[in-house]
Amino acid sequence: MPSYVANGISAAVGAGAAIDVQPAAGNAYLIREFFNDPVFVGDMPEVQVAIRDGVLADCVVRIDPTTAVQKNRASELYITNANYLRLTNTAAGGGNVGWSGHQVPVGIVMTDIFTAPNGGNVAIQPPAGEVWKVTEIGCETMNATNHPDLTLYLTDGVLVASLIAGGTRNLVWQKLWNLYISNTLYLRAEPIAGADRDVGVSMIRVPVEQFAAVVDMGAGATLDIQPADGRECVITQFGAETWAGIAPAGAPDIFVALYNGVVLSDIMEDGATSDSLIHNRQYEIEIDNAVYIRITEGSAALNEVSYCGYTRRYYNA
Amino acid sequence: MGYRTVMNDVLVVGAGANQDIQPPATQDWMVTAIGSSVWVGVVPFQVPQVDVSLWDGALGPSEIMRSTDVRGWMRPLRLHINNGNYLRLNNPGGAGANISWSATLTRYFGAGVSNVISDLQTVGAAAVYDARPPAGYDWLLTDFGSDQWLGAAPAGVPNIDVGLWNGTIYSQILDPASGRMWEPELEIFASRTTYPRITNVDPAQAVICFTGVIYRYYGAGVSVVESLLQTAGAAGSIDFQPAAGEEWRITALAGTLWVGVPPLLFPDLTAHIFDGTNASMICSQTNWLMQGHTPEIFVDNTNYLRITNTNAAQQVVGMSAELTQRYAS
Repeated sequence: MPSYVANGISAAVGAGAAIDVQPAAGNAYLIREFFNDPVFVGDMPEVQVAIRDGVLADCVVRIDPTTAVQKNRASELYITNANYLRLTNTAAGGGNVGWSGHQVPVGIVMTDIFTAPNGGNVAIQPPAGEVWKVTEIGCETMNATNHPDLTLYLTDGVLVASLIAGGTRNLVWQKLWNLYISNTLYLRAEPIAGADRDVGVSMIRVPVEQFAAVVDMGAGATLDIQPADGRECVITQFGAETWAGIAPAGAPDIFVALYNGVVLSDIMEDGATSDSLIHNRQYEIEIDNAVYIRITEGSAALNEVSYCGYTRRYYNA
Repeated sequence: MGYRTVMNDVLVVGAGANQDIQPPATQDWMVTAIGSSVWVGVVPFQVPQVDVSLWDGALGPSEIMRSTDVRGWMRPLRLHINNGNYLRLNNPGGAGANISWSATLTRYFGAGVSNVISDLQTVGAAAVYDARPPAGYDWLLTDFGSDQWLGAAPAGVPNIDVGLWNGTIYSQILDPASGRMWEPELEIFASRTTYPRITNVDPAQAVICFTGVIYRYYGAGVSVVESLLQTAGAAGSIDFQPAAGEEWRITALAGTLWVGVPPLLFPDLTAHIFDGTNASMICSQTNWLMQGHTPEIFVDNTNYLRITNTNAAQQVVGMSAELTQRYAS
């Protein structure tokens, strides 16, 4: 029986040189950590991580820490023989580059690279009947603030302006994503600058039912995210057309509160009140029919607001 | 007729008043988020105006999160509670507020026993509180608190040391002078032989708490917790190497001697993945992995953990880990 652990060390990787972490055909890995010996910068190993398929451009998901400050967070990168990792030793000298993870069933890994055309967009959209969980997003090119040169939206194909990352609101790019997308509500990526952009997305197929929507809210309006009686759901992401706060932080211009039909209690503030660092971290908010989420629009204009998550459980109410 | 497993609620809590999150006597819950209609602090460090404590109806409350400090607010919560040891939310504001929480039913045990091992205890200055499972049990600890905190807001943390102890030697995982270490979620595995020791380093008596669950009952079998300690001589290295056919998942590193300037104070060691020939650094005393997130390092007999003592004196080094697989090698 083979080992379940998928870790390793590539010795004496030269300055600027790269190695690939590529499962054999028919295998897949989840990679959680990266290492480099001897060079660290800003508490991070001096290594750049990109999703690679050998055809389209490599898409950087963790930039060289000497180039830009990165949040010291875990990774959740699902890879296969076709879409794997390229690790670049960005130190001035040679280093031993390492990684740590474990095997996962190859059939669940949906990681891929897409091309978002200049002036257009690309849909990252599962086929009908499937739900995918997105964990990491990278791009072939970083913008002036060293974040993916993309804007990213949750969309139902009709409402296309509910932003979850991009523009000058860059800190959110450093979170570990936890997005549940389906054929009817999915991701849309657009290049910011004037060129095509390849977009690398780490994702897996998950056996859950998506719970998500995008709604065009009026100024100051409220939206209740209330599962039907007997349904329990988990919300993992909010988006909005209008954001507020001081760049590069900021948050969707909405208040997110738990609500029981009588009183409201905020879990996340709008960007104008607080940059709400919680927004820049992974979160899961559990709701049901009795206590659910009320979103209050915070700007003075129409605002396309989105959320995504999954149904955790049905029960006989 | 089905039943709810989402245990959320929203309630109006008066100025200075308390609201308990207390499961029924037949249920275990895990609290995952806490909110308020009033947020306080300096942007972007605002947090809900709620003090969150473990409480058993008599001792404490022992504070895990405060409305004046960011500790614990900027990460997913995993606060395990039952009917005997539960959460007390206090509204420290001058007016009433709507306080809320997100929680999930983790276990209905009816006439059985709770899986939650969260507990609190009054501990004198410099005294210790051991989170030691009974024989046949493994525990997972997810958070710690105290009613005595150290550090100026918004960077205060519970004034306790948290380490691993095996009855003979001790190695430290958390230090209140190293505020960065308190930011990520915690995942510390305790066995009957090696378990967390919490030391009250405040000059005053304190009520100290921990939250967690029974990770596994193995009875007369074998623990799956691989948390280990060893003494490393000056500049010496210790290999934490699974036996052939075993695989471990490492979630914390520990050292006795710490260096740096608070709040950037870390164990004086380096940690590498090592294959017997080549080493690749995981973290060092100047670049500490766990100030940003809980690590998840998988090792086996081929590529394993090497900790090197970088201090001029001998120290105890260690790790928290679980056995994830045993196979025929």
